[in-house]
Amino acid sequence: MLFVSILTEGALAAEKIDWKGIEPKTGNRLAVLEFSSEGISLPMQNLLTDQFRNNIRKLKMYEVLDASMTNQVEIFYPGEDVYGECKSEGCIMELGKLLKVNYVIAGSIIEKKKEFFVKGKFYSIDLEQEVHGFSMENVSAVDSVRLEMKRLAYNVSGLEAPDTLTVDATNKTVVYNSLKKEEKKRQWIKLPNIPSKVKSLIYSTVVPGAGQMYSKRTYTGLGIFGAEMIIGGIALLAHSNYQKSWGGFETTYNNYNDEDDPGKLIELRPKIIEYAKDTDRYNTFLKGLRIAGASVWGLNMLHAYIVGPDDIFVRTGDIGSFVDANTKPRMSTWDILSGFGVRGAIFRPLFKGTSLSAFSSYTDGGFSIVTPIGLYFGSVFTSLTYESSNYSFYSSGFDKQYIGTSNTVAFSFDLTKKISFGGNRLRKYAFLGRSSYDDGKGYVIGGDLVYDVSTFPLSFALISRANMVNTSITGKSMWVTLGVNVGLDIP
Amino acid sequence: MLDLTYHKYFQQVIWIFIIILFSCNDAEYQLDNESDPENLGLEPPTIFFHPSEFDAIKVGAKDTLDLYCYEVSDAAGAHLQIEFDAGVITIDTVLTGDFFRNDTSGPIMFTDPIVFTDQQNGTLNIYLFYVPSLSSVSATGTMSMAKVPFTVKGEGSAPIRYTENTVLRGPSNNSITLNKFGEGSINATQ
Repeated sequence: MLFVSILTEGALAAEKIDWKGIEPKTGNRLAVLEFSSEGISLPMQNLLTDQFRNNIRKLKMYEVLDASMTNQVEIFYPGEDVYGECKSEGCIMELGKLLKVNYVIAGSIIEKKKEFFVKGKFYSIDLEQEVHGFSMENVSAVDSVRLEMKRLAYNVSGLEAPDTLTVDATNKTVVYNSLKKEEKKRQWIKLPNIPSKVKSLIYSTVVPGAGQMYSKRTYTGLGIFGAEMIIGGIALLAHSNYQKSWGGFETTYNNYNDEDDPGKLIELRPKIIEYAKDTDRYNTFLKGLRIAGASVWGLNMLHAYIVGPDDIFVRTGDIGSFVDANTKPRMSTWDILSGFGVRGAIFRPLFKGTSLSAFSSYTDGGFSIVTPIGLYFGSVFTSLTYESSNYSFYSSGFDKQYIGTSNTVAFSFDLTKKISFGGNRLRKYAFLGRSSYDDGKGYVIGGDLVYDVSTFPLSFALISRANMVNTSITGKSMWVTLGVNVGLDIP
Repeated sequence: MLDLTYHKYFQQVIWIFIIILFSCNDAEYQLDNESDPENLGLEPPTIFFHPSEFDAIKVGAKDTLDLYCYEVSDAAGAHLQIEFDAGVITIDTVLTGDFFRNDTSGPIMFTDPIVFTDQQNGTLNIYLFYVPSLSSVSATGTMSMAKVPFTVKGEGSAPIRYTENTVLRGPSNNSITLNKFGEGSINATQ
């Protein structure tokens, strides 16, 4: 019944076409952009645009680009009301140039109170201006819209539309009506009209990486979200261990306070000290993770604001690679930060010098900041790196300890091109730096094997460090650590 | 069901963020239990009384004094000679502690006096011997060697101390070097 009623419903449309025939002069390549829509479903929007495109193509006045080719390039232009849409003249001109066409048609279909309004513009890319505008109003049925748009195709092509013009009713029309009903049910929350950059910042503040995804940096967003999840996962693990130690500490300490037997007190004493050391260690590690998590979160917010919609960028069919739409590169804040990276690591000493042989070693944490500042020695890029790491050694009775934090300024030699093993995805670094310990100074040498996670700005690395120290407690000594780190690099 | 799953994951995410944002308490402690030998100012290996002080104990009251060794290694026997004020306390009896106990049996013990009727000289001698077994011939650790139940006889403050005749020996009859002994005191009131 609905289908029949649509077919029979042939209300006359009050058509108004503002048209001045201008013949194509320099070429006849035409791109019909997806019509933007309001009040109609996406399938219906696509259907109408496709039919309009096909109708023009059939008339053979223009070489019309396929939908797939047209949609292959996605442009993000500043100043658009909705980031990612391309409605402004500047954006359409940019897009036309990228598509290498001579003309572009862009328009919109709006439904208000069961009546359709179609507006469109015909742009000449060569002349860099709008050459036609067209519109039709008060079309009161979907099939009438299709008919009128078919007529528009004739007009755009500079041809007279025949009186016998008809459209085939398809089941798409019925689908459209059912979709329209569903769409009416959905009530999306509308955000206040705030700048896209701020919107991006808000999203990333609430959920790390969300702002990046909003700004079409999906992989970066996922990488940041993943980094936070990894930090959170490690924090959960550390917290679980902390709870174990804390539980042991509380029980043992309560027993110690309640106990009267000197023999049992002597047994409880080292256990309390050990549990206390463990809880402190896990707590310190948690504090480190808190700093790392907060740093990533903060950087994520900064990043979200920087990459928030402001510059033109274009996404082509190759998802994940971004090409600047401008021929002249612009230097942004993000460009300045590009190349920096932050890494959180855990490591454990494997070998110790004789002065530390009576001590047991434990797993500790640290972080490093990688900078793009450096020099090329032939094909080897040497970058400046800062590394901060904790170290802790305890005697078996926990009565003696050697703990502290080392701060290292180092050169990181990128040997990836020199060592073919693992290819370019597995970056190889040599590490040489000067360290400052709590009670002395020393040198650190080491190596990193860094694995880049696809197009994510995330990396995992196996790291080793040999610490050669001269401190007041150990004298001349050394220890060698092996560890892993998770890195977030600003692309 | 979907709601439950959602809430579960939401809670996990919230926990992760809470843990990231807030670290936990550091373990703060003071190992100041008065019975802890390390708080008695003693240097092991040695022997001491537990408790080391009986404050305001009433005349006529009964209590027990433990004779403790502190981190003593490989002891097979002991002669513990104790001086006390016979005017203030009377020894009721002497019981064996756990230190010289092997897997199956307690130590062999002699006391002098054998019968605690005449304690005018205020000296108690206790002889303890570890009974060797197939698995061990000596005792090690911090434990009670003997327990001395006593009754408060008269008012006053009186020290209790190990004399210089006190000695611990190893399985080869070797003398075990002990550091300065711990002392005790009884402050009896009416």
